[in-house]
Amino acid sequence: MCLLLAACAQKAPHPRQVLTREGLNTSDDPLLLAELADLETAATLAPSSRNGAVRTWASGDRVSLSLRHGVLVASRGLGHDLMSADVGNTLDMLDGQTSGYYERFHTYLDGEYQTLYRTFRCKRSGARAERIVIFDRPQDTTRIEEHCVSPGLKLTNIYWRGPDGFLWKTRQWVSPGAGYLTTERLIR
Amino acid sequence: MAEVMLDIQAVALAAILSGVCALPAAGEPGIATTYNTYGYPGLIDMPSAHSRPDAELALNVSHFRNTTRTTLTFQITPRLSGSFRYSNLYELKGPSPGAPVRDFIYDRSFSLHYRFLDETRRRPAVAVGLNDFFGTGIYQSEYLVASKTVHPSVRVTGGIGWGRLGSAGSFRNLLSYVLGSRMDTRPGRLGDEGSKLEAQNWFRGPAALFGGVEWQASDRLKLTAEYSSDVYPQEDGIAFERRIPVNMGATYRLRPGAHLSLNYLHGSELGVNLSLALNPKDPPNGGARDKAPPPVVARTPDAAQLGWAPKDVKGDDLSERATRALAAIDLELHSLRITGDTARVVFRGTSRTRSGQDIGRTARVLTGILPPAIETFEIVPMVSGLTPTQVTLNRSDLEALEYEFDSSWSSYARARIDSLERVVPLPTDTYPIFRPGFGPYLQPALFDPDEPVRLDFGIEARATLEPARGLIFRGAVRKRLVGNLDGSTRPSDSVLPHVRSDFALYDREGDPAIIELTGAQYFQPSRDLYGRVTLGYLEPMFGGLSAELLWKPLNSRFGFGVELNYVRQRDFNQLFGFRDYRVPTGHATGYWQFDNGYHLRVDAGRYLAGDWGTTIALDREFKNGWKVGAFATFTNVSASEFGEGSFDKGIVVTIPIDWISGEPTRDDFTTVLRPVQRDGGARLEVAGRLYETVRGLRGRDLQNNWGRFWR
Repeated sequence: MCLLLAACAQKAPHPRQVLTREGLNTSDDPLLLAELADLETAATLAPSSRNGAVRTWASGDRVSLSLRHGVLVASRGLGHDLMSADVGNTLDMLDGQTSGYYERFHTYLDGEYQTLYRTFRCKRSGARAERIVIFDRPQDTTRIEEHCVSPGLKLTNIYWRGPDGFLWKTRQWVSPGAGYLTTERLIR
Repeated sequence: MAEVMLDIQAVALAAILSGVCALPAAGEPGIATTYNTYGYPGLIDMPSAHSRPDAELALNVSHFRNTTRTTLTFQITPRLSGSFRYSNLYELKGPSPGAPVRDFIYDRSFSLHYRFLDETRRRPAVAVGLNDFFGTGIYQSEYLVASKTVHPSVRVTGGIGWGRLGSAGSFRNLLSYVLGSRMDTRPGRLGDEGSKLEAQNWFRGPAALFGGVEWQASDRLKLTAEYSSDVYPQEDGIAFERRIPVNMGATYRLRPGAHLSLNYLHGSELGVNLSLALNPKDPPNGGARDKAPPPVVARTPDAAQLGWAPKDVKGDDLSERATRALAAIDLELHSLRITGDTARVVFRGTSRTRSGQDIGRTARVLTGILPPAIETFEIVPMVSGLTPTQVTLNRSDLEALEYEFDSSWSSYARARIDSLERVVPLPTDTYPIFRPGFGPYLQPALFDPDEPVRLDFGIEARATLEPARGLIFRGAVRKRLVGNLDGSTRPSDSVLPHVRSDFALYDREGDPAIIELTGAQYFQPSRDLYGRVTLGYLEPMFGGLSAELLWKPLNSRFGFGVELNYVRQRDFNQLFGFRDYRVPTGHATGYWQFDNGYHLRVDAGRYLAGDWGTTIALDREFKNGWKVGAFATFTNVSASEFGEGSFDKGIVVTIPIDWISGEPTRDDFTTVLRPVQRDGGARLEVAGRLYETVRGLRGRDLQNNWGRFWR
């Protein structure tokens, strides 16, 4: 466990250099690996709370990510945070209940800390089987892409979904300042 | 010869401007509107009609032979910009023919630029401007200018100028045909003190045409050529040769908001012009990077049936846990009391701009601590012992809204915000509170004709002791380490009591100095009414008694206060002794918050020199804590009694530290720029005045701060 905590501290080695599958196998506590390439940061996160269907994960240096069935609805502690998101249509899309275009809503804070609304128009694009490997453990998934546009912005979220609908790995856009977040579920 | 100019703007702002990448990465589309050598929107020396982005604050330094201009310009509204300029001029002819040449002068001037028509497909943008409208008159001029984009990368500008801008190739003032021949001549300046609104000169006398072309050669490079209507009457032939009325320049964008121009001026001189801009609306790091808040701990549906009634929980234990949890988010618990299904928590430590966030975080802390049966949270922020406002939240709303898309607005709509009736006795054992502090300080002294920038650096020890609620003792001592504030030898020539103009003596003899040593009692006589009495060494130059009452209704844009002081001037060494001068001073003050972020303060009363008058202070306030404002004081002291400057005026800039650093802190940095410090219209400084203390917890500020409730 101290290995995991050490990985959270600033200036610590990247969690990928520290974590091993043997180490992960010694624990049953859920664990999430999160990487933000634009911010050049990565950390492991443990569950800190649950409110309804939203589970919030926290890192050792007090960054938190809130996921609704694996889909990001809020971040805190990054500076360029996603304040809130309505991802109901995305969840329906992942379940195969939506075809065609749908909307996704985000809120941010502007430079004066006032709420800023951003609407995306999104579409599912392609779903194919892909075997991913998370720390030596292979996982059969369906790779689903979500293409979204908003004035002046185009983004692609990617979800690797297990046969039971569990999101093992995702790449999701957070904010203009934070860029894309990659999550991998190390311990379910 | 020190031609490289160091200035306060350079010190205070360049530190910020160079340290941070202020503006968003997006390039500026089309043709960049940049600052001219006078630091207002223009071509090279001449004006143009477009404006810079709203709220931009820019420092502009331009230099060519024998002339350096340092200008601070603020885009006050999308259409109006205002500039304050400090110029070093060498080898200058006198204002009238035959007057002796002056080796060197410092000159201060203000400018306004107002764009009253926007550019459309058919019509140019049109602006009007005033330069040096109450300075010493060297740069006095007025203009009307139009700019039109004629090709995606080419813009032409043409205008007509008066005063200095009407001195080359001039013709009879066109306004004479409309307004009569009195417009033919400029009467000239009224006095030598400066700072009179020389309106009798505006748009009078001969006029002349100027113009130019800007070509945006690439994303980052702009080439400009202009025809100048300024003959440089006081410079030409001595400071430099003006051979032709044409200037050429190349402007390169170093990064967004930073431009460097190289100019070839008057057919004889090379000049450089550097402008650095930031925008208070765009924090360089995306705003404060606060750590993640405590999450809402939602009650499980059956928790209420588990028999966890409030009476089963020991209050002391809860208070202890709440104290720890609040400390983790940098707040202090004052008291926590449970009555029925309601918990009232009083906490300390919030600030004017962070009240929304601190209330939101306190609410979430409570969800993790209080027994499930408690449904209502009454949250009372306390500042200086005052509890102006109570925010009542339903715990179930917090649970339901935490991850709702519209959580911010919904939580505000469902919150009940009340003005507290009067001081509620709140049992607590958290007193006395002692807060020591220790750190460096930097104190500039500006615009002395002998040395425009003087600077002291030293250490400051500061402490606050609050033995009981609302009784606050403050003390601060400074010891200089290095600096040249003591280098000023210019004695005050003021004919008024030397209430401020002996600042050089205070700077020289006060080492170490007791900056402040006071005891203050804050109280709340009734709803919306707040009071303060402060006794002691109130500020470096005065000590005595200060009493204040403020009426600030919860949801009103209006506030009204009265302050009465009886003070005595302190010894120059700023220890415990006093000088003979004593004066009763005080003001009635009205505060008005406009909807669009402007804030007006009007003081009327008696100033330190015994003069009676009025101060008007207009600020543009940003919801992240930035303020940029100007003030002017008019008293019954005449311009000649006042001396240089004619009346007291200046510019105030407040910068929240978290805006610069991104680190979560509630501190800010305020700097006051006065062209000249005299004795008329001088107001007493007292720490902890009521309005800024309580306003962050009153309706409008609280609503503005609510965006951070869930942060």
